[in-house]
Amino acid sequence: MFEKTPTTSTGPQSIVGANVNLTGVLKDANDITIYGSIEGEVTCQSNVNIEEKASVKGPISAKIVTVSGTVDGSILAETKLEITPSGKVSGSIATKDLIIKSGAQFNGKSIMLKFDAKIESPQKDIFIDEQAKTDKKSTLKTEKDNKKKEPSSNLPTNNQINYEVE
Amino acid sequence: MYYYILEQPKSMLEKSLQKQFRDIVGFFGIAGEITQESPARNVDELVKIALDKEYNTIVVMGSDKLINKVASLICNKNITLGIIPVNASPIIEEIFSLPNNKIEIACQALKQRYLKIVDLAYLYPSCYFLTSAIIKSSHPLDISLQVDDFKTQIKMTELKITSAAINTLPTKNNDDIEQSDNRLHLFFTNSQDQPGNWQKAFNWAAGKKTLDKISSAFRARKIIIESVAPIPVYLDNQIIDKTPVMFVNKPRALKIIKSRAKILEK
Repeated sequence: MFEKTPTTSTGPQSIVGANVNLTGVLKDANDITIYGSIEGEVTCQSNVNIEEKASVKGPISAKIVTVSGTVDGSILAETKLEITPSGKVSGSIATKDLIIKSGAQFNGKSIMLKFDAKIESPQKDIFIDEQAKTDKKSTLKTEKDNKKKEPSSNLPTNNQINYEVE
Repeated sequence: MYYYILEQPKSMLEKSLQKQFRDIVGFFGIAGEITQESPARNVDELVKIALDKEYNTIVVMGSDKLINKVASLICNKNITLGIIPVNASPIIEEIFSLPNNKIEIACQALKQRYLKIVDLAYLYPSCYFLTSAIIKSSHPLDISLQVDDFKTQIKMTELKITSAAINTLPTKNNDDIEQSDNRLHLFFTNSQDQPGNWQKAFNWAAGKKTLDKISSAFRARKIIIESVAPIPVYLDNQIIDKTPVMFVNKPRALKIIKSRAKILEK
């Protein structure tokens, strides 16, 4: 009953304790569990768990991301992103498998990655490409609208057809 | 041939283990020159003699203190370190896969000569170690940490930096030489913020697990510790330096002999 408090770490993972505030870039090949707060980037080749009352201000990149705390930044989860009922995300997200549970808060853009897509570039490029596509679509749309509004000088309209009167 | 350095025995148990070793070392076919640390000849001199005589393997029989000392003297040289752990820490047991105070198992490992290249932790300006450097205090201390690419200010009662030798990656080639993940292990906690015994009892009664959310753990290549007032850093219960200090991982710094079999009993 009064034994030493068991630790949550089961391997060589990184753990940010509850009263710890980091500034900078946190990188690890193994799991990262966050109980405290991070201002900066989180890059992981495995799982990132943001626990309740934890907060991250900055981009997160990992295979599986589970958000139970607050994230103010973009999230790139190659395999799965889960936002639990206590989770709050403000920012763009990109993932192949998205789970948003009842009670979770999400404000931002969501991009579903294709299952055969290989992510080689940092998450910024994905969002820039998508933004470029939407911009292109919007410009095409405005061009079409403009064409409809302005009458063409070459083609005769109904009002311009000349009837020959004999 | 091996060059043996025996630690000065502090108890009857250690004396009897050393006697047992002297009796059986020839039986395993690993006989060599046996020397003992003494006030007349300290470890530095004994290692120097071994280097002058061009021994390529030095075997240490003793605790963490002697093992760390010899490792520090022979690292980055083409000399292999073997050990016969006597009252050594669990870290040493894990790195070498050898149980404490088991002479026959250690001699068997020396005979098999299964090699491993490990990283060493390095405390500037001149201290290598295989085990852990510790900063400990009964009351919380304010410390500034710079760990690779991030910084943090913390309050801690215990901080431990362990060498990367404790973690190994699977062998990537057919060599028998394993490699580590090239990162020091950093652990710190504030015992005052940990849940008290009453909270633990309440959780136990309610069927809840008491999770450790206060402790932090990281792996890094470089760790800088700073504080307002100098804080002593301990290695093997001895003060080796005071903050500000810098720890760095030195990759592939030492070749050691480890046991092929895992520890099955403690």
